[in-house]
Amino acid sequence: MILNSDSMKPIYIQISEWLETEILRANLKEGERIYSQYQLAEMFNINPATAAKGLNILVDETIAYKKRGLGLFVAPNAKQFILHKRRSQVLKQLINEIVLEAKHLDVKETELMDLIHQVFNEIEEDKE
Amino acid sequence: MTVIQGENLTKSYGKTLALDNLTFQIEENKLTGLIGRNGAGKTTLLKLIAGYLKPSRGEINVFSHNPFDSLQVSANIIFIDNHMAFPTAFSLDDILTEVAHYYQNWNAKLAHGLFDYFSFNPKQRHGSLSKGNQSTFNMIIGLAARCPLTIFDEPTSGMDSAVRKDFYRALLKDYLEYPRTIILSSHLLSEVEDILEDILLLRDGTKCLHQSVLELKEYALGLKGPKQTVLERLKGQEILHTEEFAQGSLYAVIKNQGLTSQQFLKHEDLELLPVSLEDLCIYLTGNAKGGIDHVFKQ
Amino acid sequence: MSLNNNLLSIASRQYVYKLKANSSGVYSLIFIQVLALLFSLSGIQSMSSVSETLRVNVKYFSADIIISFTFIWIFFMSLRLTSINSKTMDFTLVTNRLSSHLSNIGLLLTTIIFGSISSSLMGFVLKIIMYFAFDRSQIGVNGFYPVFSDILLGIITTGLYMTLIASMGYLLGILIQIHVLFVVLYPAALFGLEKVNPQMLKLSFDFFASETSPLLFAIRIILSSLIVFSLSCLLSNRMEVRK
Repeated sequence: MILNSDSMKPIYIQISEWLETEILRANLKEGERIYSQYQLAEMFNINPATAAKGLNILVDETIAYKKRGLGLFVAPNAKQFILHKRRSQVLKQLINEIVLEAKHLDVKETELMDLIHQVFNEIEEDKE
Repeated sequence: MTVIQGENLTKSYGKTLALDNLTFQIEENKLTGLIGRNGAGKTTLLKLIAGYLKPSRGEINVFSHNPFDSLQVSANIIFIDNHMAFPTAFSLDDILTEVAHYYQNWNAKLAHGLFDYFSFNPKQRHGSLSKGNQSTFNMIIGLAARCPLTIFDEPTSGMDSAVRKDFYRALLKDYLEYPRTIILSSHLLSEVEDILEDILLLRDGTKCLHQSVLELKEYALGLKGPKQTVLERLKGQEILHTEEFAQGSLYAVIKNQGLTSQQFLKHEDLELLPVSLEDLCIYLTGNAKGGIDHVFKQ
Repeated sequence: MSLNNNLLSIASRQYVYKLKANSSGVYSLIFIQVLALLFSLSGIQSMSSVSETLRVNVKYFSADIIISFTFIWIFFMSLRLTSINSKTMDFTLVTNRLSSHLSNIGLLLTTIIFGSISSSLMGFVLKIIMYFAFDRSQIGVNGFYPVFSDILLGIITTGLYMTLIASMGYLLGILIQIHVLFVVLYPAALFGLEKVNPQMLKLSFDFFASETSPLLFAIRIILSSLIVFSLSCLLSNRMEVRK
């Protein structure tokens, strides 16, 4: 993954989201050790302090836990937690933005719902 | 531990004031960017730290010593800029061998690895290198010396963008492997901001700010929209920059005071833009003459 | 932060560095001495007298030109060591002003040893050429056939004078660093001194040259050079290290 430094999203949030995605994709399994701040700094070419801040978000959200002297590990139920969080927060925020944009463009609620259905079906078809 | 401490540091050359009452400190093992416009006093500050210059007033301490003419400090510092000179009798290969004797942490493997990677000719002389290659070679010395305090003054001048990228990567990798205090002065903030931890921003010889990059990234917000709406939202905000980019449209940069983007987005017609560090530094150090556009309006 | 960075260990490191960097200076010295040797071959003075029965033609040969050229060479060598360029080279790496001066002086002393030996060897070459160029019976000078102690004394005396000259050159170099005008002021001061008191230069020259005891002579020169070198170090402290 290449970081998007022009994004409104700060890099440390991009780091924590990338780690969450790794957990969702089961590239990082529950109970496994997470990359250290130095490994992340090396991988993404960023200062280790930025990487540490990204890792701290995971600790604050109890997605990861610290083992003294050993580093960070993926918490049990981390995957569930991330799924839940993304549904309730990320999805909601995205929808918020969509609805605002729709209002700008005078798109009615039913039209928007139709559009969502349509995109849903397209993606489903692509999968098959 | 504090590695560098400056107290009311002032340096004047005759009547010109290069540094004016600068107080700052730099902590151990931090990678700090020294940013500022031409003539803001960056090089003067770095030379004071390296002990080449004597402060006109105030005090500077490096590793708790006065660095001026100090052998102790000199042995723990390497200062990389494009004025570095080596005897004409030495080939590049000789220089790497000879310089190694001066620095006890010298990493010969790294030096030769980089030397080969950048395809230097070992028999060439330092003086006959192009400006960019000289910078690259000096950079190799700066990295391989692994000095407890490493100072790079505009290290990338003359380098092409591919080499600059390689340099930043090499700098970060070696810093991770062997943490040390590094100061990097640069014009190209956008290229280095990701690897920096702190930024010391100078304006006319004074400290404009000294903060972590993480804080600075959230220091400001850009607002774009119809002039009236934007002006309304600006009330009570600290305005850093405004710019009318089209008839009736206004772009404003304000200090971020804990407002979330959502609070702004709820407002129709308003668009929120991130402010790059480079732009932020330009706004903070800008003169009050209304920007370059102002010249053309007259 | 490492602590074992004492003055002498760094100055000696710089000395070795400079020795390697200036090894090509040897060629310039040899070149100059060969040049001086060629000048000497025509003799520095000749006179002839003719009477009815006798025609005498006397030609003096001496290694003076070789030694003079060597003196000029060491003067410029010491001047060069104080240039901005060599200072920048020092301050590119670990140094302070004192260690830089010490290593410079060390380098000068090494060159002086080399220069005084080689100039006396050149004197030999001159003698050998004379030996083969002229009939032996024509050579009528005492001291033509060298005695070891004389050679040694010659080398040491040349070396001591070179040391004194080097210290003067070094001082001039530092003064020029302080202000370029000293390029003119330095010789003007010497000249002015001569005007004010014509005996001054002669006296100061006699101070060294008229000393008959080799030991006292050596002590006088060494002390004087030491004073001039220290003066240079002190004067350089007035300046900033590197602009």
